[in-house]
Amino acid sequence: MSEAVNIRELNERIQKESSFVDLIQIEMGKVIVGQKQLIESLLIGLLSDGHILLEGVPGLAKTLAIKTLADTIDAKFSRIQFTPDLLPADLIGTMVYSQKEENFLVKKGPIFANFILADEINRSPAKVQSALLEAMQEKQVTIGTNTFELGKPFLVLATQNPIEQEGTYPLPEAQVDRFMLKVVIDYPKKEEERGIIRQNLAKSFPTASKILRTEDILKARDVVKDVYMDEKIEKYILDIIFATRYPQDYNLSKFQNLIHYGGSPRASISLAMASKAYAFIKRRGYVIPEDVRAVCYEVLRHRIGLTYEAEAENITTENIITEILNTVEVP
Amino acid sequence: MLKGNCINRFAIISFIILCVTDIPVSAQKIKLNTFLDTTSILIGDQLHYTIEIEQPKKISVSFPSIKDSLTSKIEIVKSEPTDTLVRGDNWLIRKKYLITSFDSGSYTIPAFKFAFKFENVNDTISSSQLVLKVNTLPVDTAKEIIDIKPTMNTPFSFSEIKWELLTGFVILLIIGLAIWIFMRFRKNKPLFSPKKPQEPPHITALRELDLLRSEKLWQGNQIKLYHTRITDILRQYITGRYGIYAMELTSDEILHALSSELNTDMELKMSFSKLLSLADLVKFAKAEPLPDENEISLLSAYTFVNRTKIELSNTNTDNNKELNNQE
Repeated sequence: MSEAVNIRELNERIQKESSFVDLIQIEMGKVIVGQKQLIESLLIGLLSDGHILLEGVPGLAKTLAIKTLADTIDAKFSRIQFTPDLLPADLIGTMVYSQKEENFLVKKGPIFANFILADEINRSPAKVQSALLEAMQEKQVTIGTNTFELGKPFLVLATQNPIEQEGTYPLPEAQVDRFMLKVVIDYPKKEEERGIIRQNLAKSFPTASKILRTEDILKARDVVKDVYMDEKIEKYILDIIFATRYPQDYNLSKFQNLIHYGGSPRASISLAMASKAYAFIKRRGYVIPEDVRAVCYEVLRHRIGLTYEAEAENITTENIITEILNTVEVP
Repeated sequence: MLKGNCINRFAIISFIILCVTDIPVSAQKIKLNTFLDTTSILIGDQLHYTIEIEQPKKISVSFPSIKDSLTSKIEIVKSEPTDTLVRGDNWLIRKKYLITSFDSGSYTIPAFKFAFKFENVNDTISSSQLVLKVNTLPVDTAKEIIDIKPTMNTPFSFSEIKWELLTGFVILLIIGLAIWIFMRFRKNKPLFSPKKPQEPPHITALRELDLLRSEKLWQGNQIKLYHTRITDILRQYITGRYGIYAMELTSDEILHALSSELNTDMELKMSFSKLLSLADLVKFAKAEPLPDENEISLLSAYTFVNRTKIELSNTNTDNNKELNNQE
């Protein structure tokens, strides 16, 4: 078979450039038992320059997974615990008067790092959430009259707890949309949990080694953008997104009263980008429908608004995505 | 003395002339005309009594109140709406009454007074009297009593007989159905023919593959379309053959869904998997297979269909042929 030259070259390039993916997975696997999907999602976010919202009950290694990912890369890592009394200045920094200099000096906040772990983001009020989400979008912050560019790569990994809603500030839909992926973590399997127990009872807890530099990530991101996406795949992505907006056009009239709003254009971009990153992780130079389907839940679950009728009938966005994937024709 | 008489005569003549010419100017401007369609009718016949007033636009004329009869012997059948026309600077107002009489004789329609007002002066103008003669028929008491006129017919409407028509149609339908059932029983035929069996999926798939081969797509450099068509034909075949909605599944999912069926024939599984992988590469990665690979894909598709098809038994086929002949 004589493939078109550019795809063959691209495949070879991706085989070469994506070799670190296996290394990261091995290093993370030393610390995190199971949670393969979580690790893959973290890598997708890292490679496609997208922020991630992690949701899961306490004790599922959300924080540990993010910290381990940061450990594998030689980059600056900040962990911010969101609390009800947190202020935007605690996050982005402030101007401090220096008696020695007789001048106001900029004291940068913890947001000036490559990896930000925003732990329990829904525990802080809207003004703090807005400050973080604005920084996520603009990749820069303004302190006083000075504007500072944030580090590259800049990746926010926010966690939130689906239980204990009392005293929390749920993220508004418009701000949730800024997270490229929303990963929902479930309990580990029995065998995995046995490994977790043994690991935690051992004398020394394993740690991940630094295997990558930030430059490697930035370079890999460029390669991910080069992953070939055929127009058939583009049409497939558009069909999925449009099915969330106009279900009646895809023989899904039953969802017309259940979907309040569908995926935004940002959802289309994120789905395409995440599919490319997934193909890269699988060490392929082109996107296939399997890639789109693999990332579809993470990309769309927080971007589909449900009506009261849907909530009353216990229909979740996952149910709707499943039905859409089972109805939209695969190219 | 003579001179004094002359003066008196002149005064009297002047007074008379003044009296004669003292008719209101407005009354001169109003023209009133009343007339009948005919002056003689047969008893019970109907005719129009018309009043026409031509008046300047600035004068308002009041019509007399005429209710149900013109006289005690002349009845009003219908009072038609007033018609107003423009004639130069004047209005021409026309009012018609349809009248009749059921007593023979000669009757006078009285003059009616029309009041009007012009420059704050109230005045009236009268219509002329008219005579209407009502004739009767000579009655021969020796003869049988007959109607003066035949009975009037109202216009015909289908809605009057819709139920009769519907009932007739239903009866005809029942009779027709009964005759048809009787004829079917007489010829020993079943009442309803069994549904024509759907074409087996492998027949459709093989026909489509034959068509694809004849179109020579890859030879015409339409390689992507060629492989898309092969996979679409197979996916539709799988839907019909196994009831798996393969059109909405990816290649891996199709292989997974068919794993239990294909695990018994590993050679077929391998060739089918290779076919799907190659098609994915062509469709999504701009791959350009060699001519042999294109041919092998089509042959693999034929093999897949032929090895997985369910052949209808001869008995069933014969029955179907018989049913088709009967049709």
